[in-house]
Order: sequence, then C-alpha cells, then structure tokens
Amino acid sequence: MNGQPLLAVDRLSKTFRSGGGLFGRARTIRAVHEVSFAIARGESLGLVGESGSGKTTLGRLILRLLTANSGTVHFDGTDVLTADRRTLRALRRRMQIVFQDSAGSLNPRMTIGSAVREPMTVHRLARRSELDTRVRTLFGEVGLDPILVDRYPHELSGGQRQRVGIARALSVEPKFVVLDEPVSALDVSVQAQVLNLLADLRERRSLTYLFIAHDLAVVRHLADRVAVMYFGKLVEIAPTPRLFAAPTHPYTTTLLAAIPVPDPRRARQRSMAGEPVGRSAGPDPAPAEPQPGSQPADACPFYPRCPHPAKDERCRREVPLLREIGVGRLVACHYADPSAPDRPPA
Amino acid sequence: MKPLLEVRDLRTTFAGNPATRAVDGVNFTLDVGETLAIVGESGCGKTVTALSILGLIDEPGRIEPESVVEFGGVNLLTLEARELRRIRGAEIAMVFQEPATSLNPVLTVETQITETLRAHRTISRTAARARATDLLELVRIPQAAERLGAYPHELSGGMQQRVMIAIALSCEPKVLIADEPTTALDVTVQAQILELLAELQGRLGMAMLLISHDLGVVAGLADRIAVMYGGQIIEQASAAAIFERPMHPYTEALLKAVPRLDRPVTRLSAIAGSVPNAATWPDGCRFHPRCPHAWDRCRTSHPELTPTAAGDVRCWLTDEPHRRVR
Repeated sequence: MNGQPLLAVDRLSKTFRSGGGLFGRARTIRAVHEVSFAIARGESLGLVGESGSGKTTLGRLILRLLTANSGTVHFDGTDVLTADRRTLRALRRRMQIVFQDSAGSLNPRMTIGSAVREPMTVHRLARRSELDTRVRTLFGEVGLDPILVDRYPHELSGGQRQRVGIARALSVEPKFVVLDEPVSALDVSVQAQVLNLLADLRERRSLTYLFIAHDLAVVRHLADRVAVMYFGKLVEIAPTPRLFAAPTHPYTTTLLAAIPVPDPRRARQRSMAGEPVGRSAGPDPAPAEPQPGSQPADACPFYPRCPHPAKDERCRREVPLLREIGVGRLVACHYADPSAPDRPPA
Repeated sequence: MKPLLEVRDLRTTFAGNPATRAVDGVNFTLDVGETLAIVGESGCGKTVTALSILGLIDEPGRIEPESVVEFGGVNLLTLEARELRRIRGAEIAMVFQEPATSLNPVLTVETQITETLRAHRTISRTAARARATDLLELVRIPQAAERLGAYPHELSGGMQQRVMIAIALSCEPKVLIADEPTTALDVTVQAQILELLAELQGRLGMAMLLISHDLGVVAGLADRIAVMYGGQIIEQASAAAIFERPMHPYTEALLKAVPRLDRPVTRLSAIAGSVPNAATWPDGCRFHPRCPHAWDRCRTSHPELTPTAAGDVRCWLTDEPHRRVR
C-alpha cells in the first residue's frame, strides 16, 4: 500500500422505492446502507453476499452508473460522485466494469472486433491506423483467436463472449476494474479458464479489482481481502486466508458452512456429525427489505437468523457497527470473538 | 431384482439444419430408493434426458422410436397421452430449477397442491385441504395452515421451492426427478433444500434422479453418478468412485476445475476449449478436442460405454492405458 488507497468509499448509501403502484403503499428499500471501505493500489477486494445483499448496487454506485443518495467515493483522490462531465469522462477511462451477462452487455449487431475497438475510438486512444493492431493485441491478451474479430456475439460461446467483455474493458487501459459476477454464468470447465485469465491480467497490468460474487470458493481464488455484505451493510472484512480459516461474523460462518463440498465422504461425515448436509440457520434470507412484521429498525440485520449462542436483547436494540478486531479485520457483531481459533479446513 | 426405472438407448433429436442430437443413446437404471445423479455442463443433454423420461418433449423435438423408458413393466414412451398423465405427477414427479416460473402466479398454494391431488386421487375437498397442510409441514414450511392461502409471490425463493417439492410429493411418487432443484437459490437456502430432499427421500423411500451441473451438490446426495458429455453418458459409477478415482479424463478434469474450499489455493486447472454443440458433435470421441491424452484413435473412432470393475467408462484409455499422458 503506497500511501493513499486507489479507491476510498465512505458512508455510501442508496435507497430504492418499491411498489406503490395503483393501490400499494411505496416502500423504501435500503439497498446499500452507510458502506465504507478502501482498496489499495494493485489489491483485489472480493465482495460477497447473497441475492438482495446490495453487492451489485454497490459496484454500480462506485462507477456512478447509479446515483448514490449520500456518501462519497474517491478514486485516486478525485471525488467521483461530484465530478463534472469532463472529469467523469477521464475517470471512466480508468475505472471499468465487466458484467456477468456478456451476452446482454454486448451489442448483438456489432462485431466483437468493433465492440473492443469502440471504447478506444470514444476516448481517442489510438490513431485509426493503429486500431486494428490494438484490437488484435487485446484479443491475443485475453486468449481470443484474432480470426474471430468479424464474428457477432451470438456466434461465440459464453466463455468467448466473457473474454470479449474483458478485452473491451481493458481496451482503455484502466487501473481499476469492477468484476460483477464475471464467471457465474459460465460452465465449470470454462469458469476456471476465465478465473486464471483474470489473475494473469491483474499481474501483467497491475490492475486493482473489486470482485463481486456470490460464490465464496471462486472469490477465494482471486481476492486478497474479502468483504461480506448482508442486507445492504458490510458485516465483515478480512484478509482472504483469515476469513476462510477463522470467520468471526455469524453470517460469514453460516455462509461458509452452507457451501457444499465436492467430496461424498466429507459430505456424509458432516451429516453424521449432526451437522446436516449443509448447516443453515433460521428462515430464508428475504430480499433486502424489511420482513413482514419484522424487527425494530435498530436491530442487527442478521438477528432473526443468527445462530450465535451469545445473541441477546442488545442485538435487537443496537445495530452493531463495523469495528476493528485485529490487523485488517473488521466485523459488525457485538459478540464476534476475535480470539476464535482457526477452523480446520472444512 | 428388476430396476424401478430403466432407460435404454434414449435418443432425442431436435429438427433443424443441421438437426441436433441432444440426447444420443443414453442408458441407465434406477433402483428402488436409490439416488442417481446425472452431472454435466450446459448442453450435455442432462435436462433433455429428464424431460424425455416423462414424455415432455415438444415439436420440433422428437424421441426416436427405438428409445425405451421402462417403468412398472411398461415402456412409457409408447403410452397414450392419457395413460402417461396418470403416471406423470403421481408415480413419477418432477421438481424444476425455477420455482417462480413453475408455480402458477394467480393460484394460491392450496389450490396448486390440491389440484394435483384431485387430478390423481378421488379425495374430498376437506381431505385434500388437510393433506395439503400435512404436505407443507412435511417440507418444513412454518405455520403451514396459514400459508395455504398464500400466493407464490408472497413467498421467498426457498419457500417456493418447498411448495414445488410438496406438490411433487403429494401423490407419494416412487421416483422424484429433480432438475437443478437448487441452482436458482442462494447458498444458505440451497443447503436447507438439499437437507430436506435427503431427509424426505430417506423417510418416504422414493428413488431420486438428481440432475445437476454442481459436483458439490451431488456429492452429498447421490449413491451413483452418471457424467454426461456430448449427449451421452461418458462415465457411470458409485459416487465414491467418481470422486476418488475418476476414470474418464473429462470427469477428472471437471473435478480439478472446481474451486474448492477444502484445498489450498492454487492455479485452477482449466479444461481447454468450450463445451461442444449438439448440432456438431466432434467425430470420434466427443471429448477428444479438449482431452490432453487424445491420440489418432480418439479422433476417428467413437468409444462405447464399457463396463469395468469400478464402473462404466467411455474412453479408449481402458483399451490402451499406456497412452495416458502423465
């Protein structure tokens, strides 16, 4: 970490209004609530959470693809959320995004060569005569056969389309890339290719990543630190090896325990030890909205599902704030125990 | 003992130019109370296999006439539509991936459960209602009696899938076909549903055909596993054998490609290339373009599924083990 972080997010919030059609009363949903974190230059921060946790919204707020209600985002010292058009344009060159659904984010009527060329033209990054060479170089870099430049997105496989999405993002030579579930639509055999590619590119181009995913095993492969999100809030941040060896927030523990192990003996041992095939606590996570007849606004958002033995009245009356419990470790739980021993590998 | 369900030489094609051979000669059996998992990536033919068993293939799809799905001594594929409907939903039931699209949005939970019951059984309205409550309790829906009046959109994804399972179990099927039953769900909910399926299967003694792309999901439930690639089964063995001593290079590669929490972080071993397309299966062994061991024979000659001591495998390495590249 050389001094200032590349990205600094402070108390960022976003609410959506939902419902309120002809008859219903509109409800306000806190998709992202007072989220603060920073990413160092060259670091890869994993952001995990289940559906409705707000992780995708958070990624979009940072790039100003959505407008935040409050809070700040600083990129390399520049205030992103108040930047004027010209500044924003310059920022967009340095902050890029790769989406989950490359089929939906590529123009179906544009060849993939043009899709990769377009951002360079928009940002006037290369002379016309150099563009083709640069497109070919980028294709090579992401493992696409340059023969494919004149193909259309529907003529490619899912893995190839995702490589196009990556090449397009890299074409403007960004410093920072938001990867929003970049491999979750891919088959396992292809997912591994793309994860390896993302790791190589990061190394070669000294990229900084915000890697958003629901799959913890995938995140573990690409992140230096992991932030866990629940109901619009960060509940735990820790260096990757620590988070997996010794999770402190009860939600992180629940999440880790629920991941199925691809090993029948282990799966069976777990069920025999009284721990069912996947341990899980309480009711299903509702989407990011108050559950009907729900808890008071000051309660810990995880309260209804929390399996922690020390859970008590305080958890219902006082929202736990993110607090430091060790080097680089933050947790939002009144009773998280920083001295918890490392778990043996699952 | 005769198996409960036997699939022989199942072939399902979809007309087009060229036609796609989505399922291309699939054979397997399912015993009473057993769980067989069919595992594979997109386009391998696993879902079409499941749908074909129940005759749920529409134009331009076609189940080839030589195909046999034998259940209770009859070939389901030769039954009249009316006879097949008597079995479908009653003796063989199915749970799909997307509960939200499988449930009818304008009918209450109660109506959807009792509808199935009354279609297959002579049962009074009151008795059907009582049975619906029992079923919701069986799938662990809290306050079952109150939830009867709920509409699907009032339930979370996990609860919707529980309702789907309740509907599937309403007539006490002998076989439950579960096609990616947890793929649309969050991981904590997935764990609950898998737990529920395992428990219900043990209690009700039904056989289960579990279709999934996720080896982790399958590991906890399956007795046997069939791995599909290119419209065919390429390896079939006990779950323990598949995970500990995979024989087919594809199975082996697939297991290595999965990021795992119980192993140190290393570079993932990816499988080169992409999954093939049903309209243009490669010649020879369908995996040969991606296989690290492939030699001339694999490029020209198509291997059959061959029984071995540990299970069945469709690979020329069983003939010429010295060709394995170390």
